[in-house]
Amino acid sequence: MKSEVSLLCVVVSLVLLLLMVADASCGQPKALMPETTWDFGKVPQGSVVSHSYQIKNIGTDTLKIIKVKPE
Amino acid sequence: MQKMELAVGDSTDIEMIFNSRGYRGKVQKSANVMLNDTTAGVVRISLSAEVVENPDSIFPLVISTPEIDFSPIKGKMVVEKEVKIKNVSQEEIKLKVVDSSVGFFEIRFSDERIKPSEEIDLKLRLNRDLKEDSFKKSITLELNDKAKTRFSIPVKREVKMQ
Repeated sequence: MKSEVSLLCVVVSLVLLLLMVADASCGQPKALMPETTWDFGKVPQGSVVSHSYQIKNIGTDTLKIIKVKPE
Repeated sequence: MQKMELAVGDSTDIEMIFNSRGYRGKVQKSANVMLNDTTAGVVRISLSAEVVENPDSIFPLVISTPEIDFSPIKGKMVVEKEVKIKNVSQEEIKLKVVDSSVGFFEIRFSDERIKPSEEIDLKLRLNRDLKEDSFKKSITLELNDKAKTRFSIPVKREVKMQ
C-alpha cells in the first residue's frame, strides 16, 4: 500500500513537472518599441507632419496589434 | 500601419500624423497601442511640437519654403525639390537630419555646416515610385545648439484622381 502511494506521488509529480515545462515552452508574444516619444520641434501652423514608431515582435508567438486608440 | 499581426522576429511601423491647423505653441498628443503581449498589453506613444505662426523663420534659420510640395505640375511628375536654408545668426550652425520618413526620400545638403549669413541647399529626392500616390510626410532637422533645437518641414504630394 505504501509503495503504491509513493508511486502515485511520483506519477503526480511527473505530470505536474511536465505541465510546467509545457507551459514554459508555450509561445508568448513580446513587443519591443525602441522609441515611444517623438519631438518634431518647431512646426508651421496649418501643416501636417508625421512620424513612424517601429514595433518588433521579440517573443516566441505571433504579436497582434489589437487597436491603436488616440487619447 | 502595414500589418496588424507580426510573426516572430517581424516588425512594422505605426505612423502618427499631426495636423497643426488650429494649434499654437507647445502641443502634445498621444495614443495607446493595444497588444496581445501579456507583459505589456498597452504601450503609450506620444509626440510633441511647437506650432509656429511664421513658418519660414525658425530662428536662427530662414527657410525658403514652409512646405515641400511634390505634387505634379501640369501633369508632370516632380521627383526632386530644393530648399534654401539661411543662417541669420552670428554663429556657425550644423544641421542633422533626425527623421525623414525612412524609404521615402533621399536627402542631400550642399553643406551641413552653415556659416553666419550664408545659406545652403537641401535637396530631397523621392526614393520610391509613388506616381499614383498622395502622401503627407515630413523631415525633422536638428541644430547643434545647446538646446538641440529641432524643426520639421512638411512634405506632401497631392495626386488628383482622374
